[in-house]
Amino acid sequence: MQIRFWGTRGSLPVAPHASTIADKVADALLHASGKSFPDKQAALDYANSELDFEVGQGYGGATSCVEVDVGKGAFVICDMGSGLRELGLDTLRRLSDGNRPKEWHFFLSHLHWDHIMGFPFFVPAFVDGAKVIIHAGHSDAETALRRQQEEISFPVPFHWLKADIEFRTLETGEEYQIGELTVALTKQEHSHDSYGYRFTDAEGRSAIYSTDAEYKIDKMEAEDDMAKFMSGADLVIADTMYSLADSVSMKEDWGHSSNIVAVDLCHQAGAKRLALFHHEPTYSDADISRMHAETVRYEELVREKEPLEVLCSYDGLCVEL
Amino acid sequence: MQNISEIAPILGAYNPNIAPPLPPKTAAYSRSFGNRVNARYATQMSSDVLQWTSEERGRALVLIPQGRVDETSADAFKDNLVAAVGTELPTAIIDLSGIDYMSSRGLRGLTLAQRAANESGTTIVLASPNDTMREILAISRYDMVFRVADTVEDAIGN
Repeated sequence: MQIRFWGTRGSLPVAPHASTIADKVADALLHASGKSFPDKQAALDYANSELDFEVGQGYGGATSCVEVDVGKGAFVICDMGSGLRELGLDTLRRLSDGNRPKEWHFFLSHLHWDHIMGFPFFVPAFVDGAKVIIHAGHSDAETALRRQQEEISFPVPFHWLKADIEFRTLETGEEYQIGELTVALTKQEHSHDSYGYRFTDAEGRSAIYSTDAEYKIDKMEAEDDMAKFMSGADLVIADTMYSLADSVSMKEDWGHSSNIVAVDLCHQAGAKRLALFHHEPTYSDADISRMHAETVRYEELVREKEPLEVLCSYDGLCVEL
Repeated sequence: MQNISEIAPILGAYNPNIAPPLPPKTAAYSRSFGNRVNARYATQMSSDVLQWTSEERGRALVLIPQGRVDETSADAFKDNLVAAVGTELPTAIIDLSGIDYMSSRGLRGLTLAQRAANESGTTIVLASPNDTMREILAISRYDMVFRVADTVEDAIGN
């Protein structure tokens, strides 16, 4: 099973200013300190392996969109953030070998703008003969998607789309089979609710997609249920938008969690890997790298059993489970 | 590169400073509370669970927990703190020198205790964190919402 991150930013898409790119180039040149490269590949190798990630690369700025791929059958996608535009085009390219059906299954954490804004730009929805099935814990998913393509918001109405589009409302406590994947969901604290998903492949490997989840300070015992849902997961993708202090002070009730709680949940669950996700849009790449390093350190400080590998998701990351 | 404080002031900067040497322990007990008088936790926890003592020093209540604050002991830590800070004194000092480390539930217990303390106008000050606790307070940004004193004496203001 491969997990591909097409959009990892929280709340609002962001893009670097010209000065941000110039800043990275300047830092890279300083780091290279006169070093010369025989060809572009050598320079790329240097950028990817020698430079700090926030200098040689970057975390991207598309909003939530994550693909769960077992390499065959229908495409499975978590959320429709702005990262969905590229995913849609990429899946069409992958269809060209003729080995996969023209079928896309979405699993929506919730219906807020940053998690559905990519759908009007999802090219397969414009393709006659395509099948699009939208799964959600919310019964009003269709309302949300139709509404964002009303004339006041978007030029192409939802009913104009050529694909066969179906909505399915899922229930917590049930398991659903999508090709080789078994899918379960759990309700999370967020404005208008959100849902976390657990995907398990035929070999028993599992990935958790849990974003836009707040862990309320007056209901900390409820985290035991979430740890149980995450139990033994090979990968937990978790909302780590705020610092813990922010999440219980100024930004309490804003519907998000922290890197600290994510590590504790993964430790309690015995999860193997944590992917930090739903990055704060005001953070620079350097800020996110610092948050990642601090999270790795926190994991070391409070670890009691097996190590938890802490990844920091970025647009373009692919994790093999 | 832009300074982090220019972009995200609320995030603050990572504090790389190591903690100073721990101050000598002062004899401290005027009364005990928490685990010692709470049968539920006393029977649930192993021998290395949190132990609590407290004392009044001038206009400050000094709370002295000892042990680890993890998922197992966080509830007791929180309950004890919330019960203890209901003081009429203006300051409650939590002497962290005996705390090995604290996970998120313990940290959030500090927030709940501060909310309880607000009812009586009491301000909580954290004192004497070990190196691990100092790092955890920095990573969680709790060092931006609580005053962290190097020693209990500093917290009292002597």
